[in-house]
Amino acid sequence: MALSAGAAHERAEAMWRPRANRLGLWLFFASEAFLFAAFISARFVTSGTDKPDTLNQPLALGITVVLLASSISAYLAETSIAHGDRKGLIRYLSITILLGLVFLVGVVFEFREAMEYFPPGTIYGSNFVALIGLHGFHVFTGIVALAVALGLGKKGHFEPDDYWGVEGVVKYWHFVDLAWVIIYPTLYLF
Amino acid sequence: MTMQVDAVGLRSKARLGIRVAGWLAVLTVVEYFVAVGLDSPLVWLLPLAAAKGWLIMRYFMHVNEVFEGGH
Repeated sequence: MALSAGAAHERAEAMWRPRANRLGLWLFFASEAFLFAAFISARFVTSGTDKPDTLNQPLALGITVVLLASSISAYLAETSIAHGDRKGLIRYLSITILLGLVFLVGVVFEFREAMEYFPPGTIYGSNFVALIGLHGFHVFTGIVALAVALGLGKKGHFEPDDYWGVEGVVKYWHFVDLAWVIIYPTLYLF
Repeated sequence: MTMQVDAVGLRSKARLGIRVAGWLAVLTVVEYFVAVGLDSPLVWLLPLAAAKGWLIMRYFMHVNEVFEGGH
């Protein structure tokens, strides 16, 4: 039976839409990577690999572990809806948001210590505040996006064959994690 | 409408994700001890950070799907 023009168009769009969405998102990640790269290179250009002895290493390691843990819960949220488990989607998105908030609390402590030991008036301090602030803002927007996906998921949106809203948000969250994987050694370890 | 849960597929993918997270945790701990234990750790930390980045992009962000169609 011949398809109507509208049905044929919908079928064609269903074929290319996921790929176009992913490509668009990855192009966005590429542009974001340039932004982070500029801040990271500024840290090395202005202060080399010097870092203050007063950095709180246990706190940084702790929030790194929290962010990595949030990445696995985000992964499990996406995997859950991809396999038809809505309860899992809601559970793991909630855990991811909670861990993101814990990370942000850790960032607040980092900022407080930075103001005391290496304020923005110092070279390292300005790099520290700029990088942590830039990344922290991405974490904040990620939490907002995850909360929107959670709300939609609770209302019955998303199906195993249609969950781009979750996939896109979760990929963004992983990108935020990926950025931290580079920022953490840049500020604390080198 | 109730969705059909693919429990077997879900368990298999979840196990893979947890394994990857385990590797990320191990690399993070190694990274930390290399950084606090060595005087100039840069040469060791770069490959560790790159390995962590690759694990996240490959297994969590599914970078390979950019070059494929569908879910």
